[in-house]
Amino acid sequence: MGDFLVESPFRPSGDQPRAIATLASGVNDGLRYQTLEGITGSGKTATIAWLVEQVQRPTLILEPNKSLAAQLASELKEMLPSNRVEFFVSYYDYYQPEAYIPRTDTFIEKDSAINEEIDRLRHSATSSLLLHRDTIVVASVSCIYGLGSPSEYRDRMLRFEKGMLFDQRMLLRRLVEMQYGRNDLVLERGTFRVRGDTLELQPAYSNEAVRLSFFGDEVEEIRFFNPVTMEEKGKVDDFTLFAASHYATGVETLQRACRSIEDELQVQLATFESEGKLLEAQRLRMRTEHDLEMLAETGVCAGVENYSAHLDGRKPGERPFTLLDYFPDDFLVVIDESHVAVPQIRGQYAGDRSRKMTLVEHGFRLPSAMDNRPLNFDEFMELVPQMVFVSATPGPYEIEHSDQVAEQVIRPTGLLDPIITVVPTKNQIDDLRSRMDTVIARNERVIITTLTKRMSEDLTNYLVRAGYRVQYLHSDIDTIQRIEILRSLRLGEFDILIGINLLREGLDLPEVSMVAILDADKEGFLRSRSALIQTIGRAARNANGEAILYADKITDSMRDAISVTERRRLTQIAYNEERGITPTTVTKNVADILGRLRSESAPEPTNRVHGISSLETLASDDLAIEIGRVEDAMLAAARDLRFEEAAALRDYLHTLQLQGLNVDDLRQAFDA
Amino acid sequence: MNRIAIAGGIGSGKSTVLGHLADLGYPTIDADDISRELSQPGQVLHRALVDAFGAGVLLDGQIDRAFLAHLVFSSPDNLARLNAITHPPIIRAMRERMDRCTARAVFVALPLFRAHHRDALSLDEAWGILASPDVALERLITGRGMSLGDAQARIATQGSNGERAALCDVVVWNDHGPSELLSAIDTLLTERGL
Repeated sequence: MGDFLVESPFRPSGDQPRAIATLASGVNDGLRYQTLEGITGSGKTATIAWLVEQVQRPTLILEPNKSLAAQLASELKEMLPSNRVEFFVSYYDYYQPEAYIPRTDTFIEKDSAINEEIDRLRHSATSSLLLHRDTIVVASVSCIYGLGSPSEYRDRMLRFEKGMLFDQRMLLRRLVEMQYGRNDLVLERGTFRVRGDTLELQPAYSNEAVRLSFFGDEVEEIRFFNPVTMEEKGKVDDFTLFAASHYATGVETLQRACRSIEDELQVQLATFESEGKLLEAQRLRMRTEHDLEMLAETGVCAGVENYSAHLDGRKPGERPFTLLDYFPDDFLVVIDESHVAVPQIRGQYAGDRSRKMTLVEHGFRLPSAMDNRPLNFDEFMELVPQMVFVSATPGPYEIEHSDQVAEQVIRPTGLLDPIITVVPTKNQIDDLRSRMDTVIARNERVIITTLTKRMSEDLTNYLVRAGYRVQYLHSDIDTIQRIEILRSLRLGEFDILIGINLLREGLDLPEVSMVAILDADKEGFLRSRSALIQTIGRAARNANGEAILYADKITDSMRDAISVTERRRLTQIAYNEERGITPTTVTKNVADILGRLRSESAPEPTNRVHGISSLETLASDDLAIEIGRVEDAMLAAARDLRFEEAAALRDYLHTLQLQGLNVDDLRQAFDA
Repeated sequence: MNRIAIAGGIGSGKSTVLGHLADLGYPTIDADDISRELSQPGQVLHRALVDAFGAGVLLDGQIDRAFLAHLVFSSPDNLARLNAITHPPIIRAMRERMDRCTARAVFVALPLFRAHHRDALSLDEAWGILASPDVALERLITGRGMSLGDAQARIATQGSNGERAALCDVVVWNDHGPSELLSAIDTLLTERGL
């Protein structure tokens, strides 16, 4: 069994060594919660990899969206080439789940085109966890949703060793129980075929197939091959096969489940009928009976997870099994971008519950479907033995619960956090103009954030009339346009970008040396401590970076943001002084940003080196980030029960994915 | 009466000199002390700072000097604004106290000595106490327990020794410890018959 081993041309530098040592000793001392407070560009990914190497614990890394998860997974895979870095997201991350809107009598079905690749990767994650200790799983919040029971999954695994004896008929029946289908013509994922003395099968979680050659009942040879090219991949002495579905269950379990589903159906039908809800009763009967038939015949049905309480034999209200149950007891959980992810984890349960409630009330699902649910926050926290929160701006929850906080505020480029100047609002536009003139004369760019749409529009019009080259980035601008606008800003086709919410990633442009925040003293979501820190950070890629806060008073959020930024700046200056580093702006070719979007066959970026230069390549992932943004919007819409909007966003997401980074990139990254 | 300014940046040894002069019986006034006094709740600086920045500059009702330091370390504009608010009342208060003194000489310590202070305080002389940046840094770190970055930034915001020396009538270098520094001061006093 392998150990975690980082292979990298770099060694920890800056304040990474101390952060790694602190967190590692915290993990080894059994600290329950720790926080890594690390700025963008300080090499947090590399720190996580080195931490895992230090503590040698199976690790779950939670990302707030799939795109960030994909990016992190591919970076970690590069750093830990001999270990298992798995990727676990759900189709739920792509699409909205099934829902019913009573007002318009709209039923939106779960997108049935389950992404094959996502499914394979999920199986790969669970099987790695059961077989190898050196496993890291990078997951979205989907990891707190129900999954089949790990013990059933483990019971359904099948081990082949050279020399083992199998009765062929029994073996084939076993494969069918494990949800593998026989297909003697085409071999694809989740199928097997028999040709004389050889059995060929392709695991549900693998791109490779395996050929088992028998001599009579005895396994004579186990050999991998590519099912498409038929190219041979080498021999092994043993091989473990897992079920093709996370809900694979034995015959007995299945029969018991079907009986209890039937019982529940009768109870619910009686209830509907007594309430005079005949349409609902009819609906429920049709669907459930169809599902029962499918279950009895094939062991699986569409939306089988909704019967998970019956299949797992769980009592009503009992928590579902999740990916977390597949980890050994001493695993470590890292929550990245925790200021976003923690509230997100918290929000899942309530959102899921109200959605399911509607489905149940209208006869689309049995009440037990409500037990196919995400963990609630307390259940999640209880299941995790040790946790590390990672964020540039950890939220109050993380800070309050953490036994210790490790800081990572040094950028290998030597770039400093911006200088912050507080300016009274009287004559603020004149002040802004004179400051902008200086910046523009240096051929650098300005970002201005306002609090209202009105202010953005007025300011844009005013500055245009005054002869400035300005663009207003408002929320109606679609992703492609948005990328175009950022590109022209970088190219210098205009100098000033105005917007309201400029917190989103992808706005870290090295040409931007000044961020002006209007109404900085109006406490609220957009002027909160972390929003201010993140907005101020937009100017941290330029050596002349400065943030101007227009305000008549200093709010608590401003005070914290100024103190935090200044403290970081001082640490950075001290580090530079010690090492004789002069911070310089790293200007990357603008074309690189859109390269992935434009070229038809998106080449893997060759300049991606983990840790140190990942800071510079982040900009090239604009599209990925945009996809993440649309996804966030879609999930938010689904959470807020605005399903029609979510469905529209889902379709839009499809288009986006076709344009550039999509699952194929993932596939490439993982097969590399 | 002789009115003499002791001008020196942070870590220069200005306070050591002022302490020595006080021990010799001279009245001494420290701009930092005045600033602290006037920043007390109800005092003029407290009001002016809250007017300018709001309650964000307060910590438990007191002016949060550590925060103000953060505010002005890196931003020259913030520093200029803070100085514009705080310097006039401090200079006024120092002037009033000097005017009340009757001794043969009175000494005032100024961390940021400027040419216009000569008139504002009717100074007869300005003595500059200077230390090489490395020495000042060392003093701040070992003497006051500051972090390297804090110390460096503080020194950086206070102008160069060259600028300071040009403004003063007399320059005393303090790179070799207090005994040399104080004997240099004693010599200056003797030369002036103080």
